[in-house]
Amino acid sequence: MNLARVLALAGKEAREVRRDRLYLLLAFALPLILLVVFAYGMTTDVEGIGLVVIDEDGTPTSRRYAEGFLSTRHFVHARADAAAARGETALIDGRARVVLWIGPHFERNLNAGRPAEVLAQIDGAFTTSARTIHGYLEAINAQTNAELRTETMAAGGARTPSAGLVAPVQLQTRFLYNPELRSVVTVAPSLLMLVLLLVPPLLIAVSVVREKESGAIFNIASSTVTRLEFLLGKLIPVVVIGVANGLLLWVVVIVWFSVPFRGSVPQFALAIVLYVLATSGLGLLVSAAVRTQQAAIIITTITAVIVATQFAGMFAPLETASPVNRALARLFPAADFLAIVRGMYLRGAGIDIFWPELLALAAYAVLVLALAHALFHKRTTA
Amino acid sequence: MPGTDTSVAAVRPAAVSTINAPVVALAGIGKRYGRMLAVDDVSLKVERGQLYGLIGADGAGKSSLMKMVAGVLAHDCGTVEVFGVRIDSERAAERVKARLGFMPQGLGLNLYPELSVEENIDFFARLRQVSAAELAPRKQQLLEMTRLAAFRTRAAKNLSGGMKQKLGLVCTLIHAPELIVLDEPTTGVDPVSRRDFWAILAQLIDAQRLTALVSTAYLDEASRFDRLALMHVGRVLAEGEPAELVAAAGLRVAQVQAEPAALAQLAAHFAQTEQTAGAGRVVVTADDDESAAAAVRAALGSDQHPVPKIVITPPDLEDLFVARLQALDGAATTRPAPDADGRFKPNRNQRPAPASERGSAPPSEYNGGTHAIDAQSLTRDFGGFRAVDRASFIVRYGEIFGLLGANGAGKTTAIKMLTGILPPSAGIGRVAGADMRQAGQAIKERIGYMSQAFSLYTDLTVMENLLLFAGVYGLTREQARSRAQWAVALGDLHGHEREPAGRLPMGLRQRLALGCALLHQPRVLFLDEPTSGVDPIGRRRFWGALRRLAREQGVAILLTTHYMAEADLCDRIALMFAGRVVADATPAQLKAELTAERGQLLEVSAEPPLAALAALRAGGFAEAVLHGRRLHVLAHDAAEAGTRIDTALAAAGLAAARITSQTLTMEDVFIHRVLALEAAALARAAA
Amino acid sequence: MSGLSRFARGAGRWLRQVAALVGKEWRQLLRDTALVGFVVFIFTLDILIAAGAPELDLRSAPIGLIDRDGSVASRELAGRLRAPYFDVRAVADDEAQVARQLERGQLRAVLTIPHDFERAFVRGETAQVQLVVEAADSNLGYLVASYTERILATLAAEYSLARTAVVLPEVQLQARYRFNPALTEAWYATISELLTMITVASILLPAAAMVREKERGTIEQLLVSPLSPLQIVLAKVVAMAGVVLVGSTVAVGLVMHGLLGVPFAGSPLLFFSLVALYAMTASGLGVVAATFARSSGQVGLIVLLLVMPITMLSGTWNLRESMPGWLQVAIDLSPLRYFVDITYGVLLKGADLAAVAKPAALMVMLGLAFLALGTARFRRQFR
Repeated sequence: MNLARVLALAGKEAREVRRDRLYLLLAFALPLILLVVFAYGMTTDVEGIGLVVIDEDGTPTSRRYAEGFLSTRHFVHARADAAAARGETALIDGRARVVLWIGPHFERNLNAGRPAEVLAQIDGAFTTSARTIHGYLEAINAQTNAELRTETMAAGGARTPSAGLVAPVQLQTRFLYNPELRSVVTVAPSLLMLVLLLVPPLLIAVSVVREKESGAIFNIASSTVTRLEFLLGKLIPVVVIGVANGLLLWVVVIVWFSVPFRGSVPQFALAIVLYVLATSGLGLLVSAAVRTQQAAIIITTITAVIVATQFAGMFAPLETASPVNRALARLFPAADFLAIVRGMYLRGAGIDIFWPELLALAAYAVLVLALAHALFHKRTTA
Repeated sequence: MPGTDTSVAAVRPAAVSTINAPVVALAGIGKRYGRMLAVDDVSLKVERGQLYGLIGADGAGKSSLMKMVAGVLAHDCGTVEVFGVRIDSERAAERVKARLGFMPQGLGLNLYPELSVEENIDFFARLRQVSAAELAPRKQQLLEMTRLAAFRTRAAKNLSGGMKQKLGLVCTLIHAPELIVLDEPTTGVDPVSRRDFWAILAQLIDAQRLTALVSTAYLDEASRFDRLALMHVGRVLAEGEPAELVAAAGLRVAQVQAEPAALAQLAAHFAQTEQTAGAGRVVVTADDDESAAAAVRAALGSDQHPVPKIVITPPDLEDLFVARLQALDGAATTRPAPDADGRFKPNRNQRPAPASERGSAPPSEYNGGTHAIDAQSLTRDFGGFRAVDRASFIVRYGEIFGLLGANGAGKTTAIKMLTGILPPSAGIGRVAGADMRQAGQAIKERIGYMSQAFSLYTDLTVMENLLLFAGVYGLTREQARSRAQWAVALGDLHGHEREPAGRLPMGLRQRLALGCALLHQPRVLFLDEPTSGVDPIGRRRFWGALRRLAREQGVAILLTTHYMAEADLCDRIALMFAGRVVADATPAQLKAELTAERGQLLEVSAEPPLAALAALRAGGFAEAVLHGRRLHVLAHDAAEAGTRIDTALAAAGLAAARITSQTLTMEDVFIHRVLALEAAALARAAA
Repeated sequence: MSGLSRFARGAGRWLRQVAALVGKEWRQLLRDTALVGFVVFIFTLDILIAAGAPELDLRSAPIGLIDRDGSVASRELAGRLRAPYFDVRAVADDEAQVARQLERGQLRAVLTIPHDFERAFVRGETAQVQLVVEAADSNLGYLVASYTERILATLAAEYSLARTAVVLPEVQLQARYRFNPALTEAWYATISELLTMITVASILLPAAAMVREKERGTIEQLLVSPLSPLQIVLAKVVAMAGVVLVGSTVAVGLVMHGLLGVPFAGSPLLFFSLVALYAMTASGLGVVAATFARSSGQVGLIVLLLVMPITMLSGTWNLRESMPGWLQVAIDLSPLRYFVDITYGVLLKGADLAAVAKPAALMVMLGLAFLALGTARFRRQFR
């Protein structure tokens, strides 16, 4: 391998990128915009969920019970024609995600010491939200019950009720690494995984296929430039852009979203470099397989979307995926990198813990690049 | 990875030991793409220091052959040896690449458009590891030679086609290769730049013992080759030195002056005939002038009054080329086939006559007196650059109007404004009485356009492209089918209907593009370099079709071309220079003007041509130019000039030349005009 | 009469021109084997893969237990944290070691039961239990805490009931999941995946095709033809709708309904008509994007900028109503935001036309706006 030639190739790429202002702007603005939009938008906080109350009791107690839900930031009152199939239409047309049905005799039952039944119909179409909403409903209900108990005891008994009677067991929960349970803490660093999976493969695949389409690839094919030199020449500028993007996002996550970084800077930087190498390698693989830039864009983009949503464990833990999916996830570097992001960035773990993942990323990068090298030919048959 | 440098070093001694071995030796090679046979049992040798030419019709297999030599395409059978190294694997190919340069087909496609001229050169130099010490003088020399030195900082994408090709050549030569492989380097390049290009190549071959394998579609250029191979559907039909080939062909050209009726009979007897008013040109198979003349007389019949005048001359390469292909195709190519309108196409081998001599003048007005095309002070700026500067001209219905000019003179931009693709910065362009930017469907249906860059869908087949454009112009299914068949016949695309357009060779693509532009029978036709890269037979047929459109159907045709023989066929010419229209007249008028200004044309045959050219320029003929292997000089007094030429040649120690007086061609006009304008512009810039 | 027939002839011709272009788009797509393979993949295998997607729920979450009490009561408590949600294992009572295990991600949480847990019970005091949750993944952290809380609440209620004579009031909240009673993840995941893929393909394919026409110059040939910009844009949009329609018929009919048993509660006619409208809307956006780009590289980045927020934030992967207000306004411009409601509505909830009329109307309005913008910008991009 000849370093001067690699530098010549990489320098040429860099120049071409620099000349295309819109492209350069997008290459840096895109990751930032995606980060900001996703960090705010991909929230899993439960807020403003439409709730329809069908109060067939209509007493102060039932109204107060319902108010217990609506007074939180989690639920808002969704107006619905109460008569129309008990709020069913509101669930169907999406105005509400929960219909709370308070049956008749709600107050009477409670006063008589009988359990009062309330039915919550949750829109199960969105399973993840359904579970979370259910959790909030339960929590609010439990709180209302506790209040009711205290009041009843205060009203009924002469002496102050024993705390142990009202609440025999109390759970004190402390959240490590994210005390306020802000979803941005989870989402923002994870976006490094997503953005670096999207951008470098697209840039590199388009840059190789463009030369294939124009015929400039013949300059390389008819010269003494080796395949490895050519691939490195393509790789270096993209990896530089990718890593620069990664570092930029990293800083923004820390500064703008105030998500504290607990790990070691050089170790995390190493992880970013390895990951960008691996994802760029994927882009090179795509470029070896396709003939048109159109196909290159579509295949890299859709692959990235699939990997990010299915095989990274970003939205849900991979342990819950089917065995086939878990095996498929091993084909991509996203899951390993996400584990590193969460471990190193948020929990402050070091290379002593995450060396297997780092090693996996490195091996992955080498493997993919070797494969791309094997598939690329200077002397073709057609 | 094996170090390429060491393998190159390993090859060098072997090459030295076989110093007399051919640089390229092909033996029985074949190449197939799917079921298409591209190269079939080709064997040839290129010796060191040779300028070796590959000529042949489109799809003859030239490009494939050159890619195999350059080591970027694998062959199926046979052996390819370059510098004595057998190229049978990717690894073996690597061993010779340090010593060769390859320039693929396409106008500047191998350049990096965003990079400047100098950055492109530097990039190739660094790829090829040219040391800084070697690079500086070589770059300087090549830039000066190609007259690109003034444009070092211009981005490659902003260069004209001719400049791009010259820059491509510089980039290919920057590592001083011993062998260069150039695939149609002059296609789409204007005559002046083309001349530059060949002169540079000749100089380099001379000075550096460079070996060059070059293909071309311009047969007048083929006489410059030391040796050439004529290829056809993958095979080599003939191979040898150009002069030898012409001599061995057993052909004569007969120039006949006779009654039109008698001339008409010639077409029935000779495959290659051309007719102009009162004169004909036929290619005769004969071993000597006598028998040739006899054959022509026999064909004319014995009862001719007055007795026809027959002059026999040697054939040129184009005659040879056409004759060889006719011999191959047999009667099939000469049989006229009916077109969609039920008319018979004229014999495909007829060279159409210049309109001015045709007798039947073009219908001057059509369609209630509106002009087909009316450009009024059309102007277009790109940033600070004025591409078209107050261009005005008029094209009438039934007229073939040629827009000539060097690459970058503004022809394409003018056409794009007229067709409504680009809005003009100032001025108005009217087509069929309407401004195309605002024109409605009805007007747009009357125009046809064929853009310079191939702009059909390469992933669709020939037939699919035709049916698509038939559909785009709203033809019904039946109309579409019959028009598509017509276009296939027009372009002789039989057998290619189901082939993807992208796989067609350049010439076939152009014919397909013309077919697409004509499907809806437009009244006004814009053709931007329609014949670039098309072989002589294809061009002749193409012009036959154009002429019929103009004469019989009154279609107005605006075209650009870099084949000056085609310029001769136009009814009227506008010459553009630096965005301005600098001349607008008939070809005959243009020639007459030049003759009046500069005198008649003298053709000087002297060997070696390059040295002779230098001698003439030194001897006071500053405007002497190379034309094939001969020199062209303009002079008012032929006798006086002859003496001066002999003196100049003698002073340089060269043998006396044969000097003949020739009629001016449009090529001479173009070159003299453009060179004079360039000189004036340079002088203005210097002042 | 003659005016009418002339109009009919003109319209027929207009449509014939569009049809010729649509056919061209389809042929070009079919010629690109890599692309065809990919389109087939996203409507078949990819949907199958999505059926095995991970779900946001606890499964054998490793919980460390430090039981300092070692009593019957503490063991009873630990026993309640059961599979499939939890995998409780005793860990050494060593703060450093526990911290390390949390840091490694080997434990999701640590539950500490103090010495006097049982004694507090006996005395009628409130017994304290500590839960330390690793919340780097806030979703899972929340789930661990809320599941534990629920289990303890049940336990507490049982204790209270057993201990006091007074009947305390209690509201029993019964929750039922509508439309997907068992919360079968595959139903949700496959629909989400389908929506994502339809969106990506509909925006990307026409945008890339349009830029390719610009790069190769084929667009010039169309510009000089009598085609109006509307026809050119419409052809791209209709061609894409055709592809999506075929693809989603296979995906929904064969893969999802046939193989995976995802319900199809509503009217197929209604659903597929809306699929076609959505594909046209989304590809209209793709065409608009293409008018801003000069090269494939540029269009790739521009499309990413549009596609990613649209697919991720329109309600398939997140709770739209929980986003900040400014983002909700922005996402109202995403056609998928309406199509999410339509798809889940018709497929799972059995919504009829009346129920989806509003989102459908808004989606069509967006589509018309994209079409108008694309047509308007079409000519302006050549200057």
